[in-house]
Amino acid sequence: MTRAAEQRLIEKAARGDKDAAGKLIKAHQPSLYAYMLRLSGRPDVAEDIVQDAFVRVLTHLDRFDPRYRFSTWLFTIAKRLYVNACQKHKPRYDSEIVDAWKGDGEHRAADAAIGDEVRANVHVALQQSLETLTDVQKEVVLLFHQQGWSIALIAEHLDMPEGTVKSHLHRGRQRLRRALSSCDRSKAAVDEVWA
Amino acid sequence: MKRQDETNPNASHQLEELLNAYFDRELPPEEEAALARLLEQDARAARFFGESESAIDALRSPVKAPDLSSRILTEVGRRRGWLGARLQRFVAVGRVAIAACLLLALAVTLTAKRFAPDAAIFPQGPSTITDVAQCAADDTKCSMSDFLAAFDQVGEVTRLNDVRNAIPQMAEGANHAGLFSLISNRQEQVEWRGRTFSSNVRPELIELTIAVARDGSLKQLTTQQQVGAIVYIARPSTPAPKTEDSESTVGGW
Repeated sequence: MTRAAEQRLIEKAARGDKDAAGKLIKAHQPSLYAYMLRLSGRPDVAEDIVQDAFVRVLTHLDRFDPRYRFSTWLFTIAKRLYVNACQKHKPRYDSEIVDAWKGDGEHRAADAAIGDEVRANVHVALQQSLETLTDVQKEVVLLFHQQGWSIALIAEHLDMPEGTVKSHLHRGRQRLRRALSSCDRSKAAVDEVWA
Repeated sequence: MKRQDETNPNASHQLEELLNAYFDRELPPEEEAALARLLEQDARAARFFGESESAIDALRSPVKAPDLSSRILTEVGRRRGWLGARLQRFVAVGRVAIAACLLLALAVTLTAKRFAPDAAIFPQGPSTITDVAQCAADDTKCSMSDFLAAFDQVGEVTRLNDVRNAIPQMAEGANHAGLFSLISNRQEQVEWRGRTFSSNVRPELIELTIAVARDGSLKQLTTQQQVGAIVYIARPSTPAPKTEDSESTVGGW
């Protein structure tokens, strides 16, 4: 979606157009959910954060500054909500929850749609590896490699110099590589899927 | 295969920089060939490269997200409400109509202010004496037509010449303090020679009169407009009956 098209949707949604708001959700929910899932390691937390972030954003669309990207605004609000949630109860990677997510209800159906058990193993291994990163490293690595944000945009989003962002990115990537390669199970899964 | 980082630290550093630049999406196309050559020569570097790529690919692996749209839209609707398509059109048209009305009102007001400044109803700040004088002059042109009729009813001063004759007396220090005070205190009526006059006039004219009187230039009120301004202030509201002791009521002016 072009920024101009997105801006038109935002203006319509701000005027109370439900369909336009729905299109905005469809456009950004997958990436935000994926980001929050990797960041928190918990599908339930990711769902709550994504829902809360969208509700807040869509309720206050009149405050959106069109000079900035909508996704940046959305991710910033989601990040704040996540930090607040962490202060109340630090979400940690929980293999039981992830296992339950792999084999429960709509998530089981979702995974069935993917149709690959190995991929679920990759999820677990990746999440375990991500837990070895610091919070900042994890955030930078996810924004850069998962979301495809530029270094400059991440620097603006996290309010830090680009050099610092790169430093976190390099260390985070290094640590992630080591963690993933040292995990035999994940390595096998990754090789199987991505070889 | 020999390991470059053990034999050549510079080569190892160069490789690391190239790899970081590659994964940072900053490697220039012309250096990609150099990176490929280094990877071919160094098995450990190639393994490092492969592991990094696998990690990044894993990060990009798709995540099946649950569809939260209906929950989000319901919650947003509960907080702020959604408008139907017809209502949205109505609101859009309404906004345009309101904007058009505001523009029209502004245009009418500005036009009126340009061609009939006195008709403007905008609240004004303090006016300079120059502005007030100009205003008084314009106003007098209108009020002069009422002047004779108004003072004919009073009977005390019946002609413009009488007012002109009275002005030197004011300038010479005749007792006009009563009128002066009444005007200064913004009283609604002015007693002059036993007659009641309305002071329901524009404040600017009162200010002009007071200002002119205070700086002693009252004697210079010789033009028709200036005289008219004073007369305008003293325009009677209702004709009052003559009384025998009218002169002593105020003490003369």
